[in-house]
Amino acid sequence: MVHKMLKIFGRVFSQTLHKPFTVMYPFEKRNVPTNHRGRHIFIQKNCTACTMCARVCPTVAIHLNREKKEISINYSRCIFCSFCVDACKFNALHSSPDYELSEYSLDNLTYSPQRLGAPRNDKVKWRGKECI
Amino acid sequence: MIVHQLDFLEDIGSILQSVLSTIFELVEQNSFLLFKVLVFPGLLFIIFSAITLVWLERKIWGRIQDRRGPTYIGKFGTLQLIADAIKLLSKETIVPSKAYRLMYRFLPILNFAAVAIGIALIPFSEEWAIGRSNVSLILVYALLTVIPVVGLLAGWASGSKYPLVGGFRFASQQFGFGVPLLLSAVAPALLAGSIDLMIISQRQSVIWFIVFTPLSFITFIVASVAEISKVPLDIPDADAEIVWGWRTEYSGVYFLIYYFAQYLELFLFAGMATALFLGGGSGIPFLPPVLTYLVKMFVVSIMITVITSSLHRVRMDQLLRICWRILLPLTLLNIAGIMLVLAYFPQLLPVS
Repeated sequence: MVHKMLKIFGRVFSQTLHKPFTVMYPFEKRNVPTNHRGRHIFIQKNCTACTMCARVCPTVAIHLNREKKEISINYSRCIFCSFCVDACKFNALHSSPDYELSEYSLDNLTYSPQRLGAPRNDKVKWRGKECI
Repeated sequence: MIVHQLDFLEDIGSILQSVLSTIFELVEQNSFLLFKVLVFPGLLFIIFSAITLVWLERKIWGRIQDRRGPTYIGKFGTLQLIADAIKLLSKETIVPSKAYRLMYRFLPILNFAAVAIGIALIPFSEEWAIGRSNVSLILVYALLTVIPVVGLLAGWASGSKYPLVGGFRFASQQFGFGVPLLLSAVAPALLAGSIDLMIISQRQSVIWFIVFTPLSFITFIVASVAEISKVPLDIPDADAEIVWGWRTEYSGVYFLIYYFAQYLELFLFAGMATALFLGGGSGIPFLPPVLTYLVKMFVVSIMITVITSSLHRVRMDQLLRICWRILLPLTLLNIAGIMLVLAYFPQLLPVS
């Protein structure tokens, strides 16, 4: 009984000596794999408006403008399955590992072709410190 | 007619004046007592120390469980509890429809008051102790017997089944562990020859009583962890099983009062452990006795927090087994041993 208590408290003491496991979000973030399917990147000059991506999307999240050859993706419907990325033969759609997509209003979740064209690069500040 | 009214007003004015002047006189005569009761080591100080104890517990639990405690609010999470308190104070107080309203609202205040009056009897030092009594050890225990009654009544007055079960468990635990708690304090009282906590703490200026009765100290700590219902022995508050036991239905301000009362009980037991076993007030030469006392209470609180964060909860039958089959015989043996030594070998102990 006393031996068991000593083992418990020895373990407790050694546990306080190493660094805790906490990730101080949003100043530190955990690493995601590079294959992680997040939001899409759309390269307009490769697009030929073949409509394969819109046809294969299971939730009808992609809207295509055939004359202007532009895509807009509705992220309130997208399930990030990346069938569209596999379906595109012209390398116009790619996946990026960006997963922080929350918005304050539902209209902002429909990404226009210009917004899809570049990864997000706005620096957010929280409590005076910059977040990654 | 108008003259009579003016006489009436003059009489009221003079009565008010005399009442106010007696109040001011009383305040002036007892200003130190009022300071002790309200500021240090009274109301403001115990609220501040309850906040500190909760912060300490959350940080130490976190570090032992391989995570940080609160970090964002205040420099190291120190203002987290104040943010929680503000949130709780701004909530609506809900009284369940099947509850007994008057008792339901009154019991948190009774709990807090019993523990706060107990804190007034802690012997910080000759001049800084708020209350002094010849029988303060028994008086503190008499006040602590209010707590199981409050728990049982709160469980029943909440009008639902989880608090009822929690109330029964709480009452059986508190009554069970009250006996070893009191008997553990008998050994230092025998050694000091008095049941006044101030005299017990002052007799330890040469050697602390923990050197003579370490077993009594251990049983006191175990019994006090059970009395404040902290983790190894917190069957009444079993979060995963009966939501929060006998305090489930209390929300908002009542939650805050019960939570603070629990940590004030920890403060009270740390104070009593220091007075009974650790030679309260003497030991560190360059600090005044009050601050030495507070430092020792701090150390005891950290010790109890480390114990509660590293062990898991015991079952009800294991809890009762610990109480009646392990703690109680140990305390009785301890008392018998101390009595034998005092009767036949008084020269072994440097106390009269």
